[in-house]
Amino acid sequence: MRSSSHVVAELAGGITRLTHLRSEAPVLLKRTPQGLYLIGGAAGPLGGDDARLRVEVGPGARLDVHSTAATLALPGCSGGASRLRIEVAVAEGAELRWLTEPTILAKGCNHRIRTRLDTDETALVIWREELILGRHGERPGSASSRMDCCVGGKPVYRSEQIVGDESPGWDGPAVFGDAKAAGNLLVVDPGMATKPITPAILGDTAAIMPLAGPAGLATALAGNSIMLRDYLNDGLRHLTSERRTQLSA
Amino acid sequence: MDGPPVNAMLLADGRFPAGGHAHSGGMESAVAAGRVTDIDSLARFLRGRLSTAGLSAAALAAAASVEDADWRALDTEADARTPSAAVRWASRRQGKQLIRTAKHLWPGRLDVLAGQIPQGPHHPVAMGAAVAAAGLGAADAARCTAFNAVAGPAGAAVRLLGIDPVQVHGLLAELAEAIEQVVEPAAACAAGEIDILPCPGSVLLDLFGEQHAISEVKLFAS
Repeated sequence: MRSSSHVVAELAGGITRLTHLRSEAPVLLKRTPQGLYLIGGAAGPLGGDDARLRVEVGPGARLDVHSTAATLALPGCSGGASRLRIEVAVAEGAELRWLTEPTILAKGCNHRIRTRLDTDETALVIWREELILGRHGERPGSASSRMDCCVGGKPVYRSEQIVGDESPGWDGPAVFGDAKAAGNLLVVDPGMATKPITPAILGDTAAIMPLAGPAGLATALAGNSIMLRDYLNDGLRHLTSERRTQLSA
Repeated sequence: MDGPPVNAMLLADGRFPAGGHAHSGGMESAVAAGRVTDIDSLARFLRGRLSTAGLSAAALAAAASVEDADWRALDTEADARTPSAAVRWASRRQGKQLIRTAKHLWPGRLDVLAGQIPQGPHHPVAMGAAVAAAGLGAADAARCTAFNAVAGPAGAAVRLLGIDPVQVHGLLAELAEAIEQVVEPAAACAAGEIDILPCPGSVLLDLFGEQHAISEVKLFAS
């Protein structure tokens, strides 16, 4: 299944409106009073699917993105990869909170996520990503998720999480160890340029790290999705507790 | 690219006076956390480190070795690939010491790099520039870097765990093919666009870097 979805959020008369909203299964977009929801419009993603999503947040606009449920990446009958390409542009003074539910990497899956996040130096972004390494009692297939985040055109965070035997040692003591869930929470905040965050250890397998730029990252490994979310919620509080840029309500 | 091949051996040698022996590449914290305890867990650690941090660094080093490489841009790329501030610090410190020694061996453009990045270039950028100054090419830069990515922590493991050094060197020999599997893609993208260079992450290595920075009793600087 090939699909292309596109949303534009713009500030008009003091409120953010979705001035363009077009979506195709499997990535359906629905506007709600709580923000934009991503809804799985088909089973999968299955091997062979190729979905694209483009999100534009215009000057001064604020967009919250959620999803209704976890995404389950499954193998297809062709043996090919399932792909999700997300391109996001956040303009000056805009805010984006991307707090979607985790992606579960099922046995035999071959799933590829590519995220390109381009933000203005004055924009605020909160971006959460969680990967669940197999369903209960199951080893995951192959997957990778690459995030490229540039602020004002300058790279601030590039990282690809690779799961499965294509990356030798992926489940060993240098990479994921015996974790069943891995996640990151990235905060890009122009206030961090003048007031950087301090590193902090949140637990045995979670930490807050100031990036080389106006951004900070909470990174965590856990035995299950609930413990992972606890770590990342803790991380979100740390990264947004000392007021840097004034968050809108 | 007509320098003598032995120059690559000089650069990859742990006795090269660039301070590499003072860094464990996450091994000290991995041992403290009980994640590396014996030769088997060491082997898994080294394979994981090679295919993540090793590949990322080898690709940056290869790109830094080509003629007209944009060292400042590559240094920014290294920053973006290193979320842990403690690991960034260790990388710059080793890069600075590498350049300090290498510029005496192969004078010339390394002074330019030292001037461009006075706080010390990231280690892979320094290694790529040093390999080029030594008259060698992208595959040599990638190989020296990938080898360092495993040889450093392996040497640290000998000191930390008291494992038989013969067994540990046996592991390094077993990794020869895996190292070449990193060198090939790293060298292949050396002359391409730098923003698409590989960036495989390793969560535990980042966490080890942060934990090490706050640990009070330690043998290694990182």
